[in-house]
Amino acid sequence: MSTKIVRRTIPLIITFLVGMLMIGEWFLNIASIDMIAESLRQWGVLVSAFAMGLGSVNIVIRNTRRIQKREGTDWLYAIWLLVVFFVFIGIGVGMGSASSQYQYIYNTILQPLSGTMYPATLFFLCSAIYRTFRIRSSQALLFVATGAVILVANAPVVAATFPILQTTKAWIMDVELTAAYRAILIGIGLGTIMLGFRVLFGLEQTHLGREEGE
Amino acid sequence: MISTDPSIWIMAFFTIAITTLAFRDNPAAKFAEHTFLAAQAGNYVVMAWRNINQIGISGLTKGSIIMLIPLLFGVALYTRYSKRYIWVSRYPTALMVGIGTGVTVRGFVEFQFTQQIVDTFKPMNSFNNIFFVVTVIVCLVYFVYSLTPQNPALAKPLGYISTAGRYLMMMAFGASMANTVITRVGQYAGRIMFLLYNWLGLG
Amino acid sequence: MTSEDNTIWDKLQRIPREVLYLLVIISMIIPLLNPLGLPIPISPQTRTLYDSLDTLQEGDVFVEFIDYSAGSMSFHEPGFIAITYKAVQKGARLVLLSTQVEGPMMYEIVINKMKPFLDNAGYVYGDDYVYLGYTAGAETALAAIASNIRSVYTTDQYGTPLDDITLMQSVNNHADFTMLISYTMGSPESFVRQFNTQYGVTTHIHCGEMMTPTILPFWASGQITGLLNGGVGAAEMEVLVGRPGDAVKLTDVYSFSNLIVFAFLIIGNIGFIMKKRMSE
Repeated sequence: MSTKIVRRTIPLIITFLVGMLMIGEWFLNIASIDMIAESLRQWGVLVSAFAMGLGSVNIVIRNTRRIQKREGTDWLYAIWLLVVFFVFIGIGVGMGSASSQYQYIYNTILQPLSGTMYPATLFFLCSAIYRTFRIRSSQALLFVATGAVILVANAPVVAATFPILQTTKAWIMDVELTAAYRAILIGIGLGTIMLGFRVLFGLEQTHLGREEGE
Repeated sequence: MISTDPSIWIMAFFTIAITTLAFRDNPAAKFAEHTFLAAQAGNYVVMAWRNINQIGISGLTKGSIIMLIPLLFGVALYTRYSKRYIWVSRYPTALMVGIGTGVTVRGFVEFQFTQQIVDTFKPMNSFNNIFFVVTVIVCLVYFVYSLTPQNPALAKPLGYISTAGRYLMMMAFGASMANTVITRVGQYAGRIMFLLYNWLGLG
Repeated sequence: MTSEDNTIWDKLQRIPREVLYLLVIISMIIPLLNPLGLPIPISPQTRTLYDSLDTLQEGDVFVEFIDYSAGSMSFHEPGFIAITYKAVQKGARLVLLSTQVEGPMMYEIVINKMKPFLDNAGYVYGDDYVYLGYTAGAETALAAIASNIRSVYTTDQYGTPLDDITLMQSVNNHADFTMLISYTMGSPESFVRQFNTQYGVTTHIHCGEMMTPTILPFWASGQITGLLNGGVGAAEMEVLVGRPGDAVKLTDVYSFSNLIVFAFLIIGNIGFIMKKRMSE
């Protein structure tokens, strides 16, 4: 069988058939289609679980290379990273994710890190607001003014003192913002459906990676 | 009273170390970053294993031979690390993309079009309702930038409407920016609460 | 840098970021140590959620997706506690699950805090509430759960087969869900698509404030029945159920921190506008 058929065409056919089956299940009420679709969804969940390990393989490969290179103090951090990685897996898989031991290392190590990593972007956000949100045009003025009103209205001590802010905020959120975002969502929806059908019909093949020889 | 629990001190160290990353890069922050990466990746593997065991392996051991197919597909994903066999990973990718696209797209028309458009048609009996409907239409016109009217007389009014749409969206984005600030404030305040109440024993 | 760049207006635009960061941190510490106790107005989005929970009958199945991580625990956890408290008061049975990878750990943390009122209400694990654990697959998993929960879950989080769990013997798919809520910083739309759009299941969302703009149109159209707006919404729900807690404390933080950010936004723009006028 031609290489291109096996390596590209058949996967595209799989995407098309599976996708159309999922869509067909929605519109048709046929027991055999429902049954196949249910199995496929179960398979999809299982394959997604395998996909979760892909990033971990990358981490192990890259950090092993860092240890081999021994540049500066970089390799010491890489050793620590691999130690923590395998300790988590050892305890989680060996004793179970519901075990008190796994709960302990999660609470002590991952929870404070995960709980601070994303929220700490607050500082970068504040810095960006201070340095870049400048009123250079009338549109920027609207942007800054509305942002300022909502910021102040979200401060209960000010909103309690000036009830008009609460009313203004409610109007901006429930009328203006909802209407504008509705239009944006309809626009995004058009794009998403177009992209979805392009993927299903094989017009969009980025999920399969590059052609051989490119 | 300040905590004497070693795990609380470790949690406090990690919290402060990550916070210092905002000020400048330093060894403690780098150490914490690497620990986070490792722990997060390890957690992903642990949770994935539980799913694979629960659905795939236990299904197989209970006699459902067909579970071999998704298990093999899952293993095939890892051929992406081989230059020679990378094409094998396209099969499970194609399966996941097909299922995901089908499941998402099938409800989209009703979810993000029909019901949204129906709700937009409000009775035009108040300023808010009129403003709402006009805003939706005006902002939609902004997106229809590929529409070039044959009649040049229409181009200018469409241009004004499109500009009005941009202004209205700028207002919405300003409000969105403020909401982002309050989200991050609320999230980070949780860490401050931990440091004050659990670690330092204040409040 | 020339002397022309060293006016007061330039300095206003170049305040060191460390000063800003420290002020933000201090603005959080002060109200947490000295709470203000200001009244909290209830938004219509929270009110619809509360009123919907009020319609729960004894024995109804209330499905809760614990899909938040440690990053948003500060407001999702109080929201979860307040809403679950209300559902328990109404005698609803709780099916808890997660499609976010940190969900199981968040469950273990929050269930310890909820144990006292669950025990008080006579709630027994397996009979009145159950936690099924984490499932991969995002929206695919939601579609699978909606059509047949046993296609993705064969046991609960602790390895007990579903058929051995009293509560799960009568819960198979969407038809057995009275209503559901997702506590998420991810994609709330997927819950609405898979449960409400397809099967008409009453769907509530508790998301961060920064996601509220994209979700409000769905609340306005009735596709989402109740919407809790981040920490503010969690505080409102705590007030409504009569159990002020961590979320109410957070609202005091908003008072100060928001004003600091507002002040710096204005200061930066004053410097910019005055500098521009001077050079013109």
